[in-house]
Amino acid sequence: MACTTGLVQRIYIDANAENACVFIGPTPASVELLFVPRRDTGPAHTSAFLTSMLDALGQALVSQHEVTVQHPENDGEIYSVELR
Amino acid sequence: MNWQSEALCVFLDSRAGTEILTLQFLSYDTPANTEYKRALSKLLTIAFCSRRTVDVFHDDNDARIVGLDFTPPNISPVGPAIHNDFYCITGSNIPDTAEVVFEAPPLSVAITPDLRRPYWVLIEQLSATVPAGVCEVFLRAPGWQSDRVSVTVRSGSPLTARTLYPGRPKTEPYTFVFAATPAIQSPGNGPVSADPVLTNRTNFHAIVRHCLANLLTLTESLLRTDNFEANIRFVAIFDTTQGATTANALVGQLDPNLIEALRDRLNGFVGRYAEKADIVFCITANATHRRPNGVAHDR
Repeated sequence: MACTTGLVQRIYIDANAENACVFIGPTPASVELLFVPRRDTGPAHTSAFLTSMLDALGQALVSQHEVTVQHPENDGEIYSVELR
Repeated sequence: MNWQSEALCVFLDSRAGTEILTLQFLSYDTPANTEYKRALSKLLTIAFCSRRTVDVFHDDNDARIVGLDFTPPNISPVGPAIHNDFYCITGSNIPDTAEVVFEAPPLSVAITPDLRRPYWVLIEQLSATVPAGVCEVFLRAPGWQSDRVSVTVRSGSPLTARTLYPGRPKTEPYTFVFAATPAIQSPGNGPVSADPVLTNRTNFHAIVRHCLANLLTLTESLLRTDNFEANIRFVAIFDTTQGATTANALVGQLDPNLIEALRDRLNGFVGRYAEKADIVFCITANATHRRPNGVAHDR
């Protein structure tokens, strides 16, 4: 498990992409690219949970709140978000 | 933004004028599609309410929204803007003459940062001359100006733990914590008493700024080598709710007039604020023991 802490600098979401891209770092020019996956299949509550995480990251972006996200080592898929 | 008839209409100001784009919730959408549209709707609402610029994606000659991108400005405020608290802004290639400008027409307040680095500026305490409420903040120097970011300035209690600079985005970035020590231990593991540092927040801010300036701007360039400083996380802790307990006594007195950090308590203390520090600066206002005690250890 890896943790990345920082400011949400950018969120990019596109219907043609399988993920919502989340750019986290101390400055706009120094970021890690992570992502919240989109599940075309799977239970509704999982999709709702992922949307909820994306919602929180969006709120953090505009309010300049720091976040800590968890993701696997060598993988950018976010599975946990903590607002700090 | 306008919701009606199971559709969301977005009126978007662009260079070409006002565009009307739509996001329609359809009966035959798959659950995943419905969830995706819900996510888009929320993000558009967040952008609207915070006055953030977004790029909205749609096909040519088709007003249906398929995605969006929060266009990043070239500066990034760190944390909320609170009167009398630290206030920091990160960026790139910030001129060393930059000032921080808060603008809420017709008011415009320019503040000279107390510390400037190429990637970061720090205001020691945000002045109450900056009006509370929504405004735009940007950096300005002769011949240069950053993008503008909408922020909400408020009065009220400053944060107890404040990230001044987030550091490298990785697990456990190298972290410096400046901690106001809630308590002092008397010589020889004696009784614990309250540290007066917690009675003077303004002084604490000044000391943190002084430490940072010493670390980052004076002749010794260790932390500036290869821009290492831009990878360091800086956090300040000033928590008046902490009592004079043994666990909170981060410094101890050594007669006749030395003060030393009680290192075995530091991880536990900063850990309460979800920090894992590599270096903790224990800031005390001890009146009698004022000479720091240096300790060297072999690896």
